[in-house]
Amino acid sequence: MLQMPIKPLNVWLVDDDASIRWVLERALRQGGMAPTAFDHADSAIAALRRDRPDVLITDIRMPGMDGIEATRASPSCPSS
Amino acid sequence: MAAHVFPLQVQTMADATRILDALSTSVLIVDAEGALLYLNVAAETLFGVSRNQMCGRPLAELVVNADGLQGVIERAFERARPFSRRELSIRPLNGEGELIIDCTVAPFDDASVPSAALIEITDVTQHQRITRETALLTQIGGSRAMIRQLAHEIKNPLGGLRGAAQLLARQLADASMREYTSVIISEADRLVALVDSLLGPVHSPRKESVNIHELLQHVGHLLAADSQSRITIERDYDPSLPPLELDRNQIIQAMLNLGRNALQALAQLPDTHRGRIILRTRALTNVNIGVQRHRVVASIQFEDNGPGVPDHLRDTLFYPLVTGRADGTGLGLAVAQDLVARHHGLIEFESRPGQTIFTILLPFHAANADQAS
Repeated sequence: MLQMPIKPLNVWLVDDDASIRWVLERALRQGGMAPTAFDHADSAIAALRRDRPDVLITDIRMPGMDGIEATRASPSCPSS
Repeated sequence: MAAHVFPLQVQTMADATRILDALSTSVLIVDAEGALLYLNVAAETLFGVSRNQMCGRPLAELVVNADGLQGVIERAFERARPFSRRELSIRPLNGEGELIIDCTVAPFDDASVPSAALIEITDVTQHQRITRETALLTQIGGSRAMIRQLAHEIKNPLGGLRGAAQLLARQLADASMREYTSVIISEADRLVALVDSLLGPVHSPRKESVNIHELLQHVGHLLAADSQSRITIERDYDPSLPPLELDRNQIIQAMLNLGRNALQALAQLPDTHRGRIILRTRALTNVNIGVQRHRVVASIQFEDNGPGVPDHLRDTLFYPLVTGRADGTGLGLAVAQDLVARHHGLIEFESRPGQTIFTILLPFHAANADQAS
């Protein structure tokens, strides 16, 4: 049987709060995932043009674009 | 050429009396000892007395707290010229409660020693109430916006703090060391709970048609249980009160907070005094809540016979985190006010030793409110 190596889940984090990003990144990494953190929704949206995460976790209340707008702007979001 | 004369001639005492009685300002005349010589119709109405019955009686028989008014009269006599006081609080003996008045006392100066003075009184209670309520509503709105912002600023770092403590706990091989991280976590949770209770419910009121007496009965039972029957709970309901459109849980919470506040006040009474709470409902017509005029509002009162709200707390009573008790959170009244404000209502209070009344005013049809001119 062909064994495929299990690729770690690619999780993107968007939170303007540095301490939350720090904690979540470490928690996800400890859970065997590959997190990438963004401090603004804009930078996450820009990165979406090059790459796609398996999961996007975003804070809702952020300066600039908020989390709800960010998920709508994300091309894989069913509502967009 | 003939001098122009006014067609109206004030010649007799009857003429003067007719004019004085047509005034909406209350006019009283007192002698130097403070005995009443005259009241006009407006004054009779204001004090709930008849002039025949009061003639020659001292001012102290009109109002409970005559000191303030007496002071103005003494000043006017001393200086032999008119003297005014604004926003003086008086409580007519035969009246419904406290009145706020503007008054001017003018001694008659036709003799060298004034022997009588004319007192003009304008009732500014309603005007003062609107000013105070507008300030209160502004403050409620302002503190809600501030709390919302502050809550966000507090909860974010707490999330980081709690998460870091959780991660640290996982790294600790020694279970006894995890006590330290669990203290961090539980204290962070306590702060989040505090912030959440400051914020109040996150959803807007889920309104349904409710009989307010049904909610009051429920609250009454809870208060009786809380007090372990050490106090008397009396009910004075207006059964004709129509149903109200409101969020049942939010208004129960607001009423319970007022009731518990009363219980805590009654706990300060000496053992010789039995505490009593009166739950009272009334329908009031043409009432202003801030600048909004409502045709009908429900008035739900919690009256207690406790020691009264201390003077230093009166102005800030509805601010969050203001409390008169060492173990109080200072949230009960602030949350109650916030919940009632979400129903376009208002909580107001009047208090003196032995009688404190908190009144919830809830409009029957918040949508039908007219903007007061």
